[in-house]
Amino acid sequence: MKPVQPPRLASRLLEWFCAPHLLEEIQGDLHERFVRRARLFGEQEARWQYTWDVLKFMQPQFLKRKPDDSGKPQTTAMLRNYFTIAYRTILQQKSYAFINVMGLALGLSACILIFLVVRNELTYDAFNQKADRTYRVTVHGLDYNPSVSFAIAPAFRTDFPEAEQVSQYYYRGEGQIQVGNERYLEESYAFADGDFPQVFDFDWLAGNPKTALQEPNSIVLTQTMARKYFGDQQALGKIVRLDNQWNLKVNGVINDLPSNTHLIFNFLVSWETIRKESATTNFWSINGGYLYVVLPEKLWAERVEARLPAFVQKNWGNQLTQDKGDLILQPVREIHFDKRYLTQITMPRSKETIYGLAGVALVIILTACINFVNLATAQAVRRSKEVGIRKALGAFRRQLVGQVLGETTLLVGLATVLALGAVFAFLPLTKPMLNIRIDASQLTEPLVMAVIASIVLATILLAGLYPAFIQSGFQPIKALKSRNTEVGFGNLTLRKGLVIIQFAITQVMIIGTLVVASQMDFFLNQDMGFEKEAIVSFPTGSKADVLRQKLQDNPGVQQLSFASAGPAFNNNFMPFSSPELGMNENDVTELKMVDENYIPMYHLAVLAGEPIIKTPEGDTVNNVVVNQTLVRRLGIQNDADAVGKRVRAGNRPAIIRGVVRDFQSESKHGKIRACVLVYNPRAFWQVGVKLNPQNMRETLATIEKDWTELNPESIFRYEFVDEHIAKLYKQEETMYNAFRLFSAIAIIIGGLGLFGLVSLMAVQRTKEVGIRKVLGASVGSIVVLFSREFVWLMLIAFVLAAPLAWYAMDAWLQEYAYHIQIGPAIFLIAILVTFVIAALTVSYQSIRAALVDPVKSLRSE
Amino acid sequence: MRRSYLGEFEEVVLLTVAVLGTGAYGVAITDELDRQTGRAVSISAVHAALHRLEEKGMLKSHLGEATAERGGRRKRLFSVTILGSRTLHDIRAVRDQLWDSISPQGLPAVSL
Repeated sequence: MKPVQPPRLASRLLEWFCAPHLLEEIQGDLHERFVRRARLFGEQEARWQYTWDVLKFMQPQFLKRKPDDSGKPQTTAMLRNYFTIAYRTILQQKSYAFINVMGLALGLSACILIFLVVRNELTYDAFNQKADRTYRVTVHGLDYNPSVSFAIAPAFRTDFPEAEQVSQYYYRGEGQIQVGNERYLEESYAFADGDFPQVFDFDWLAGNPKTALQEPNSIVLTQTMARKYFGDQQALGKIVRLDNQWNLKVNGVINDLPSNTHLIFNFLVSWETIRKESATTNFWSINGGYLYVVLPEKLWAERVEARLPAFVQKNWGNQLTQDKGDLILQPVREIHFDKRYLTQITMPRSKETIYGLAGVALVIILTACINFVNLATAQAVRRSKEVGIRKALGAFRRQLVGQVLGETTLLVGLATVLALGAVFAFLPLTKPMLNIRIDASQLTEPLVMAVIASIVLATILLAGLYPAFIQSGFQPIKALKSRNTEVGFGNLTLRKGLVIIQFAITQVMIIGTLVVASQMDFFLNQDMGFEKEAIVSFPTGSKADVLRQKLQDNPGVQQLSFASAGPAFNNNFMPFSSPELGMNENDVTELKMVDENYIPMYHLAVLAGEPIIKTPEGDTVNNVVVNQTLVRRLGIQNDADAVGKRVRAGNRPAIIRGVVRDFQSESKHGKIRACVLVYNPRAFWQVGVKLNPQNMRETLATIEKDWTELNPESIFRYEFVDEHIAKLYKQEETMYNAFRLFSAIAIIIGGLGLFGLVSLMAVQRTKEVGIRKVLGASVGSIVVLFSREFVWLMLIAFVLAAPLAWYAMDAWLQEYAYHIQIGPAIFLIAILVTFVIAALTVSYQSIRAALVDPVKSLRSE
Repeated sequence: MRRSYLGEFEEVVLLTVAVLGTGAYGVAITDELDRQTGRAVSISAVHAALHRLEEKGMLKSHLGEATAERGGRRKRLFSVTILGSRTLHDIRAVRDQLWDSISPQGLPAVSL
C-alpha cells in the first residue's frame, strides 16, 4: 500500500518560509500527526489539518533565519583577503610595483595635461554665449585679410538691420599709459565700440558693460592693469593718459582675458574716441580693423554671405573696378584654426597639431598600459600557484578576474593620486613652457573631472583586462603540479609584440623629436638673406634728423638706417602689376620704405642694377629696388634684364633700378614674396642701428639718453633683430618644448617597462643562468643571450617605426615654406639612441644575473 | 527577588517536558498537554514555547533518531536544564508559600 502523503502544496509552503534549522523537526512533527490523523479521521481531514497547522507556523520566530557566524563566509572576508594579498604582492615585488605605478603616473599626468591643453585649444573663443553665431567679417582680395576698412561697419549696420550686433574692433598694439607721473609701456591695446561687450562676454569686475565703451575718452582696464596703475584703490572714474594724446576715464574693469581667445589687449579704449578722424568711405582703406557681427539665432550665415557681394557692389561698386574684393563671414570659433590669414595678430594653430598632441597622449598612455600588461602577464606565472589554490578551493573565474582588476585598480588609483599631484605642480609652468595658461580651477570642472575619471577607467580596463583573463585562465592541475608553469606560446608572442610596439613608439618619438629639433635649429639659424647680428631696432620718435645726427656722432654705432620696418618686421602690403610686361592683374607685394643705408647695413646682396636711388622731387615715377621673386613674377629670368623695366606699384608708376637677392622680408615664415624697396622719408618709422660689438651696453645707454631727451614723453624700447626673429618662432618653440617634454615621458615609460621586463626575465631564468655558468658560460655570453632577443625586437620595431615617423613628420614639415629634408642621419641617430636606452636597461639586469654565483642560484630546489 | 521570566503556558510546557522525561518532543508534548489539561493546544504554539524556553536556557535539546512515521525526519528531544528546574522549584515555592499564607476563611469553600 502506498503510504499516505501530506498535501504537497502545504509542504512546499512550509519548506519555503520556515527557517532551515527548524524545518526538520517541525516537518517531522507535522508528518507524524498527519499520519495519526489520517488513520483516525481519514486522509482528507488529515490533509486539512496539516495545512491548517502549517499556516499557523507562519510566525516571525519560525521565519527568522538563524544568524550565521560560521558556515557561509561573508563577502567582505574575501575582499579583505584580496586586499591582504594585493598588499603582500606589492611588498614582495616592490620594484615592479614601483615601475608600474611610476609609469602609469607619468602616463596619466601627461595624458591629463595634454587633455587640458587640447581642451584649451579646442574651446577657443567659446567663452562667449553667442560664440556660435558670432562672425568676423573679413576680406578676400589679393589675399585673405582679417581686417576690413572702417567704411564697412556703418554700411553693414544700415543694410543688415537684422544683425543683432555689429561691432568695430581696432587693434593698435603697443601703447603708453601715463598715470600721474608714472609711465608704463603696454604691449597691446585696442579700440572697441559700445557693442563690443555685448558680442564678447567678459567678466566685469566693475563698471556697466552696456555703457562702459559708449562715451568718447573711456577706457576699460583688465584687472592686472588696474592693479598695476592703482594698486588696491578703486580704479573706476580715474583718469589715465594714453600715448600722450588722450585723457581717458576708467569706465570699467574686467578680469584678465582667458587663455583661449584670439583677442589680445591689456585695455580697451572706446571707439568713439577716434571715430571721427577714422571715418572713411574707401573700401580699400588701410585704416581698418576687425568687424564682428552677431546674427540672430535662426538666420543662416550662408544667407547673409550670399547677400554680401550685392552689398559690396551697392556701396563700393565704383572702387572695385580694378581689384576684386569679397567679404567673408568667418565663424569666430574658427579664427584660431584658420591658416589663410597671414597678417593676423595671433598666429592660428592648425587643428592637425592639436590632434597630433592628442595622439601623443594616447600613445603615452598606451605605452604605460603596455608596461603594465607586460609585467603583469610575466608576473602571472609567479602567481600561478595562488590561482591554482584559489580555483581548487572553489573560486569562480569571474572572482579571479575581479581580483586582478581590483589589484590593477589599486595601482592605477595610486598612480592617479601621484599624477594629479604632478599635474598640479606642473600647471604654473604651462605658461612659460607651452605658452598656454591653464588655471588649476579647471581641474575641478565637472566635465574635466568626468574626462579624467574616464581616462583612469579606460586605463584600468586596458591594463587589467588581459592579465586578468590570462591569470584566471590557468588550469589548476597544471598550475599546482609543475614547479614552473610554462607560459603558453601565444602569450609569449603577445609579449614580444607589445615590446615591439613599445620600441616602435619610442623610436617614432625620438625621430619626431629630432626632426622638430633640427627644424627649430633651421628656423633660428637659416640664412634669412640679411645680416641680423648686433643690430637693434627702435621707433624713430620725433625729430628724426636730430636723432640721426646724434647716432652718427655716437662712437658705438657702426651703421644706421631709417626705414618703415626692418627685414622680418611687420608687413605693409600693396598691389603691383606691370601692364608693360603684360601683367595686368594685380598681385600683392611687400613694401619697405627705406633709406640709402638699408641695403648695405642689412647686407642685402645687389644682383643687378644699383642700390636705392632717391626719386627726384616732383618726379611721378618712383625709383624702386625689387627682390628676385618679383622679377620672376614678372616672367624675367635674368635679373639684369629687369633693370629699367616699368611696373605699377601701389597704383603708381615705378621703374626698377636694382634687384636684390631674396631675403626674409615679412615677419611670418611663409614663402618669401615679392618685395619692393622704395626711398620715402615720410615713412621712416623705425631706426636700425648696427652696434660696435664692444661696449654695447654703454652705447645703448647713450642712445637711450639721447632718444629720451628728444622724446621726453615716451619710454625708450629697443629690440635686437636676432631676438626679434627668435620671438617670431615662439610658437614653434613652444610646440618643440611640448614635443620634447612628452616624448621624454614616453621614452622614460618605455625604458621603465623594458627594465622591469628584463629583470623579471632574469629572475625567471636564474637556474638556467646558473647551469650555463656551471657548464662554462662566460658573463659576456650570458649578457648576449639576454640582449640578443631585444636587439631583434628593436630592429623589427624600427622597420615599423621608420616609415610611420617619416610619413608623419614629412606631413608636419609641409606646413612650413622652408623646411629641412629628413635625412638618413636622423633615422640612424634614432636607432642608436633606442639601442643605447635598451642596452642600458637590459645590460644592468643581465649583468647582475650573470654575475650571480651559480652555487647560490642552484642551491635550493 | 529573583524573577523567573515564565509565562503560564511556558510553565506548563516546561512541566510537561519534565513529565515526559526522555521522550519529550513536539507531538508528545502536545498530546500530553491535551491529555493532562484538556486544552486543545496548537503544535505551533508548543514549538514556539519550546524554542523560547531553550533561548532562555531552561531547556536543552538534541536531535533524536529518525522514524518512518515522521517521513524519515529526526525529532528534537527536549530536557529540562538546571536553570529550568530551579525556576520551576522557585515558582512552586512561591505558590506553596502563598497557599500556606491563606487563612482557612480566606477562600470561599469549593465543593469538590
